[in-house]
Amino acid sequence: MNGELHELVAPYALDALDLAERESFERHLSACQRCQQELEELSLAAGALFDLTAEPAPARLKERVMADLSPDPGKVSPLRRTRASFINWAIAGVAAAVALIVGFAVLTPPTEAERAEAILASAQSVEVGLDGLDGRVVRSEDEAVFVGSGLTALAGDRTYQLWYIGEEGPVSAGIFRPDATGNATVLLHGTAAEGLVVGLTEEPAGGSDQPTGEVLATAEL
Amino acid sequence: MQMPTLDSLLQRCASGDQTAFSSLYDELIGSVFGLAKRVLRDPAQAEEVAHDVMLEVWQKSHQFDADRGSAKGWIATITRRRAIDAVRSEQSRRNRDGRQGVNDVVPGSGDPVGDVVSDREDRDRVRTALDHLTDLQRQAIDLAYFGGLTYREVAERLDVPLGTIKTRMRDGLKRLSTVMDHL
Repeated sequence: MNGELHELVAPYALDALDLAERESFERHLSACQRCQQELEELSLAAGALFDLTAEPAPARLKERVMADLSPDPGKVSPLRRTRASFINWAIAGVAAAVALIVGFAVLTPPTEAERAEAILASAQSVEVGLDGLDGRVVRSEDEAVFVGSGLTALAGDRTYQLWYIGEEGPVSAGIFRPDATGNATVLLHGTAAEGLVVGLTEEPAGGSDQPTGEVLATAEL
Repeated sequence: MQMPTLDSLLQRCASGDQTAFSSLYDELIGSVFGLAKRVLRDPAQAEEVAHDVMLEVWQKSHQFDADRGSAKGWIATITRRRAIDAVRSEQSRRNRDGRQGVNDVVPGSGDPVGDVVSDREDRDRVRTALDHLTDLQRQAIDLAYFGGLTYREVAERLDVPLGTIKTRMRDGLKRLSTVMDHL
């Protein structure tokens, strides 16, 4: 019904229409100025949801992406066998039963929370105390977990950021905000190694490429 | 010197301009990765999705029509769709294995009870902005945007009339729009 189409601006802005409704709304949209105006405003708001979730992506990702670019867009180029391709391949049932079974371990990476718990619980993990703050860093081989308490609450436009500091300087290991009690348990992104120093700074929301805030705490692995 | 707009960078990609793509990448990868991570929760899977999104952006750059939306919006849509598809494939696979999967949790939405790791930056910042919305507005938007449900599916899940959901979404986005103006 035409009257109801006007009501679909918000769901459209949120991409919450199925294919059929989306197509009929788009047809309506091209002829309806009122909807176009409303969509402009609501799209900006929906766009904010995209901006607000931003966080630093691993540097290696860019290397992979740039290397995988085909010289001319629009031309099909064989994608490197990434893990995602492997998942699709396996789901297609082409993989032999054995490969499928072996693949399970690869296909279900644990969540960060599970990894952090596992590291904290492991008898093999090595613990070092934090300098400057209540807490510790617990390392298991090439992964580490930061556990801190008494962290000051932050304004909405600020974040805490962890760093691995080695010979080449600080590398971001992730950003986080403490919970309501000032505690945080954070799995560091990247590779832990003996000799690296873990650092904590306060940065603008979204994190920084290099530390801009003063170092609040350190721990030498 | 004027900074090129995201729209113009994307258009240059269509002619094979890898420098333009590199700039576009730098500008948006944080949002692409962050959104994928909010939907998928697992950073490794989020990385895979982000990789595939950026390749798709490059491959399909000639399809981008600046009259029908912004480059950022176009890329956000690709990201959301791929992330949500990835979660659904993962859930189907688990169901096929007969795994005792968690009841189909809508990806990215809701507060995970007893989460060991403290709130991630992205959840908190989005939550801060969304704090200005009523609970019901926030819920409808969260389920649709981060959960990938259509408004009809949202209405069904919450057992609420379609008109109510449409209103909550609209009012919520309008309020978010007002909040942004004041930031």
